[in-house]
Amino acid sequence: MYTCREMGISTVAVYSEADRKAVHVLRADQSVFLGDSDPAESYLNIDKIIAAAKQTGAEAIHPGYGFLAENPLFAERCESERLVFIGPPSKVIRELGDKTVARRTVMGSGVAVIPGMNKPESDTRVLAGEAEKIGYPVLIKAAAGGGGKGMRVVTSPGDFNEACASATSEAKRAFSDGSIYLEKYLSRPRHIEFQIVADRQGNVVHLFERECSIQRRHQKIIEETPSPIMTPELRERMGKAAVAVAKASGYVNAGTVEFLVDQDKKFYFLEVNTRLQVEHPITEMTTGLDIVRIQLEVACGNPLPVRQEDVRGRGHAIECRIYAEDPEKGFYPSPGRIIYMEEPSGPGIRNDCGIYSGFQVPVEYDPILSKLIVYAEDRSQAIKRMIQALESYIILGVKTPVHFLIDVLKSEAFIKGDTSTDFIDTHFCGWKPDRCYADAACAAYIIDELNPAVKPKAATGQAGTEMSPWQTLGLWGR
Amino acid sequence: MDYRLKIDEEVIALQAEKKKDGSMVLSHAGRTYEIEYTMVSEYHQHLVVDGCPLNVFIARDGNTRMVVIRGVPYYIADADAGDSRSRGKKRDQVIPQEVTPPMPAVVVRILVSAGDSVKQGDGVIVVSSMKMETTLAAPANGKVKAVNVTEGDKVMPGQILIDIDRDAEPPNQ
Repeated sequence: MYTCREMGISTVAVYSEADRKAVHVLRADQSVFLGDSDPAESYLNIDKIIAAAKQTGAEAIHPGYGFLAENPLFAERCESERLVFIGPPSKVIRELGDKTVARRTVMGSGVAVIPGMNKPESDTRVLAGEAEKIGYPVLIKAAAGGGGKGMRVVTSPGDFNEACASATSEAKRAFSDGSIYLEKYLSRPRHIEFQIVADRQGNVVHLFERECSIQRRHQKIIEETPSPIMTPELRERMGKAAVAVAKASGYVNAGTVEFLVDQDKKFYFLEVNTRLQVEHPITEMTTGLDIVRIQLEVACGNPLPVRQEDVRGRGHAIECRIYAEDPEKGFYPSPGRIIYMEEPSGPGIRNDCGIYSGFQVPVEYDPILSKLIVYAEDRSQAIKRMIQALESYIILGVKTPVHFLIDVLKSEAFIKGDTSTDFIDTHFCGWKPDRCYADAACAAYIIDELNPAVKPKAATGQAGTEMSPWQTLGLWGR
Repeated sequence: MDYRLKIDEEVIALQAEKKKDGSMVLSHAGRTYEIEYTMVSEYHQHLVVDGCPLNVFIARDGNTRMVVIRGVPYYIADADAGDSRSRGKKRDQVIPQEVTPPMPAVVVRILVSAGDSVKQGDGVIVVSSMKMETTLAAPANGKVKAVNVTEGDKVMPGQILIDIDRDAEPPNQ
């Protein structure tokens, strides 16, 4: 939206019942109500979204990074309704979106893929047979997948059937497509991805890598660029592979080619995400390019504003995803009302934030609250800057992983760049924070008890309709 | 004045003495702190603990106060006041026959039916919240007494989804 405003483009937001007061609705030039909080009635409802576009005279649709962003039917519908879909052509989304088709396409371009199945399967007996062939541990993945939804690691045949059932139903609800397939589960890989941008004239440029190895539940929580293991030679080879994958699929617009890199720095194609990614800001920080702007330019039919040799990376950027979740209890979602918040600020700090004081975090959707991004001259400076930013990020009312992220960033393994996708299980299993300020916290409690006079003043100072936070505590208070 | 506070499930005893406005002396476990304080806002206190400055953020959430210092949250309540949440937790610890979701969720699949024998740790029901599926496990060996929900039900923490063994209390919402 910021980019649109800079480019003089008006924005229309769509929203569901649960998101009436969401930030994207409040900031848009116009907004259209879609329906019930259930995604099928709102954000996954193609008819309603197209109708909203027609009703407001919108010329283009940016699908964001969830829900219909990688749905080929939606892109196709936009094409047939003469609306510009800001993303790749529907045919490309369809081919790359089915992870098994993507694997076949990539194998044709000569890039290595992870050993596993090349087509989805629903018969559990056939799947179990394939699992034996591949050899445990295996990874169940949703053919339509992304964001770790519908993904399960199975280490022994005994757990296989229940894991398949649960992966299928999770995939069905997340992508309206429950088909699954199997891949060999690589041990301790790094997740390294390349941002690519392509125009309709056939030019493809990569904007370097992002390392996203720090994950929980197969969902990234810390991303950085450049990767601590990257060498110019490896970057050159992986970048070329990413561009080759994009060219083989006829890619247009912004996308991400994901790889797993093993301990010998051998890389395997994982998948292509045919959309803007949550972690795109770190690439914007180090390259100085606005990827959303490039998306809009390309969607208008303009050629890419940069050539490969013009793309320069400078310094180091890190992103931390802040979810409403409890890092002390297996990262369980923690919805509720944001009673009070203070965002970090300072040189090199960007916070892409979807919450505000008084905001009710909806139970219905992925509990991401904000993305905190820092930029500094080098990796060690960036780590220090991120720790400092996290320490001054105040969110009261819901549980967040802020203190967990601080401990990860301070850990020796992270500082050494010794990161892999099992990092949290290896180094932070059963983690508890060091509560060294417990006495000061008790003092604060007592001071708060002893000084009630401040509160009524603050409460009555508000507008008449505003309720005080403890009258509207939401789920926890009741 | 004496305080008994529950901080992260641990009860501690403290003495606090309010001095002239803006300062107090706090003693806990043989340590004494000199604390000067400024109420910056309703949610923000600036403390100087034995000469060391500290920004503290605090909000009330039911009977509990959430206190954040240097990014780390502390949950503190009066140990002697009734708190519905702590009672709920205690009940779970005393009578571990019930399966209840840790947060508001939707029932996705039920893996057992009444009369089934289950072992501790066996998955009995799958719930989903914020698009994430979780399998809840049987808390003890026993027999499934009743399944109180059906697939698609919206459920809340404290609500008993599955009764295992005997002696289970009626569902308490």
